[in-house]
Amino acid sequence: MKSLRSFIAKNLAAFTAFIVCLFAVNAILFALVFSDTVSNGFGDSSPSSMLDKAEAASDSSGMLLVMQERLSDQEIWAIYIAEGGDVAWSVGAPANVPDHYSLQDVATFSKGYIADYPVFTRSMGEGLLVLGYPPDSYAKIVGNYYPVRAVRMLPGFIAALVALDVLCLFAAFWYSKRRIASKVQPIAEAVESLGRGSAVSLDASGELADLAESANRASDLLRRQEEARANWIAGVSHDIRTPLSLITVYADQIATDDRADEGVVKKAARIGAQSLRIGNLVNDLNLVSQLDCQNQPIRTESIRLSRIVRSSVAEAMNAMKDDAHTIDMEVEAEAEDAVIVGDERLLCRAFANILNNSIVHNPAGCTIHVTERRCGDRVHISFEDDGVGASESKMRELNDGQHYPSRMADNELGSRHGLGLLIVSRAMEAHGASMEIASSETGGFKVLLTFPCGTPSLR
Amino acid sequence: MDNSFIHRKRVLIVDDEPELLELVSGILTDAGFTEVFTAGSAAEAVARFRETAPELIILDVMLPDGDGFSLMRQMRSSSEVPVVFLTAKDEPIDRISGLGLGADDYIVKPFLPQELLLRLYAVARRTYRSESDQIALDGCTVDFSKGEVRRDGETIALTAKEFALLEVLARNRGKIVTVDAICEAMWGGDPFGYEGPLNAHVRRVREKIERDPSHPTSLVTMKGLGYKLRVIE
Repeated sequence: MKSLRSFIAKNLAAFTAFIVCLFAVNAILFALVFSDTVSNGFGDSSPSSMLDKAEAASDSSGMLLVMQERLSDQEIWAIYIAEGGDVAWSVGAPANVPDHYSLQDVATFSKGYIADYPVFTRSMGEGLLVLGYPPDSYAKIVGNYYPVRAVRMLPGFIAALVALDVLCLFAAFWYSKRRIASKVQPIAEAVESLGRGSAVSLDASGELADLAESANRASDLLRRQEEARANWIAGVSHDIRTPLSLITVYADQIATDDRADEGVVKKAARIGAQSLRIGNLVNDLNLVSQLDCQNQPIRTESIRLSRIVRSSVAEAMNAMKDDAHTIDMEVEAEAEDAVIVGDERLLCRAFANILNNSIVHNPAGCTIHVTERRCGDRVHISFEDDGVGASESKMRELNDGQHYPSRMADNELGSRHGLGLLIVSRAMEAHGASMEIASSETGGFKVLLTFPCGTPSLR
Repeated sequence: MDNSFIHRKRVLIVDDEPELLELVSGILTDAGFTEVFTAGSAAEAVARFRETAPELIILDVMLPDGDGFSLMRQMRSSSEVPVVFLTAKDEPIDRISGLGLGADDYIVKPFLPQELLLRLYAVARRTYRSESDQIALDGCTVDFSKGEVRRDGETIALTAKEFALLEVLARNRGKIVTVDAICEAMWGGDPFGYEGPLNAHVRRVREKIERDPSHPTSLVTMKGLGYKLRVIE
């Protein structure tokens, strides 16, 4: 499920980038919209700047004409309230602007409006210079007092709020992704299993029922195809046996007929040997196909490994026709009672295949050392010969499970290892054991099998 | 090895392939069997079985009107006749080894004539012990029908365990028999840890059959594996 986790991680990174971009866009938009307002609202015609200029261009008797024109351009009016509260002079003041102000009036409008005109004041000489702006140009906040503590808290508060928002967004995102992942995970696992050729069975309910059903259908199709293939191979393998038996027996009868010509005898012996070989190949092919299709029932019984290793070695030695090959066998005392649960026939077949492999690939003869050792809860069985061995690349191929490499040079055809070791590897898989192919110390071929095991509680 | 008493046994071969029937019956008659019967289907096999009361049966697993296993069960309900299956190596184990069902052996197709005969003789010998059921060893004779060894005109009796030991080795004469298989034959089950007692029995048997028990020539040790009995044919 690594791919799913990395998918979520990538999404999370993309989401973070998105939030950062969002903030940047917000800042740019704010700058674009308010830059004009700021320059206009707080530029040359801003109240403080105008007050500065008006103060410079006025005294208690009046205002310079240039300044008056400037004010009227901006639709700003001005009055000067003398010490007694009377308006000493005014420039463009509307009719509804009073010409006398009490102390209370001054206190009120200095923070607000005169007849809906936002006004700004500046003390000048003994009096008060007042500039009045058009009614909808400035908003004055009348109750503009806040506890200093609150004002100081504000930046931190805003920052915390933004952080909290971002956190909530991420949590929501993470949760939604997890939810999707939990729904998608069984389907992803099923697709992975299908990729390995294993059957799947998903619960086809909920939001992703369609997908689950599709995976189930694909699995079913795969299983039926596998079964059809296995049955086909089983059928061919069965039907070929009787003709092969006839060929083998008749060839053998010719080969052992004293009256037959020597050349004919040799040829008949070859025909017999090759038909036996075809028979073995067909058997192997069928077994591999059954194991792949999991049609072959793996019997589970308690097996003392040393017993079946010994019997496989004895059988191989009994089948030898000459003295070119020898097998020596050594079982460590601690390994003698190592027991596994498995299918005896399949294991015997695997051991026989390994021994046979060494014999077939060393026609000039070799010695095979078979040892069984125990390390804790593992049993190692090693089959090591002092024969010709195999090349590095060949061993890599065998360890990788390429028993029939797809592109094989013609000159390699004669030396290829049939299905024998493939059966060993499948048999080991079925028993939770491992197979490792290496070079023996003498440069020969070595197969190391490692089984998980226990010791019988009785005895 | 005297197989004449086996050759006199009535043999029934059941297979749906006429050519295979001809082949197997040819091998048997060539070897010296005198009464060989064939059947091409389960129904025919049942009829032949009743007619001829065979003493050895060779049975194919797959038949057009049934399978060899049920056929064997049917025959076994009325007779103890030994049955050898002709089968594919990759038939599921519990079916082939049919040993649970009581099959005596199985032969994998394709087979060699010699292999077929050896297996049949072994099965027949196990079931029908001959009057002269004895083997010749280097310097002595073992008579299984009487359970004794004859050496230099002297007769030495075998104990039950010694008999069992020699019998399992004689049945697999010339072949290595693992200590496990010997212990199984002598004590049953998977008798782990019986190597000590086995060694003692081997020593006593050697004293009875070998000229020089410390340098055995008949009952030889196969290091790490088991024992082998060298029989003079």
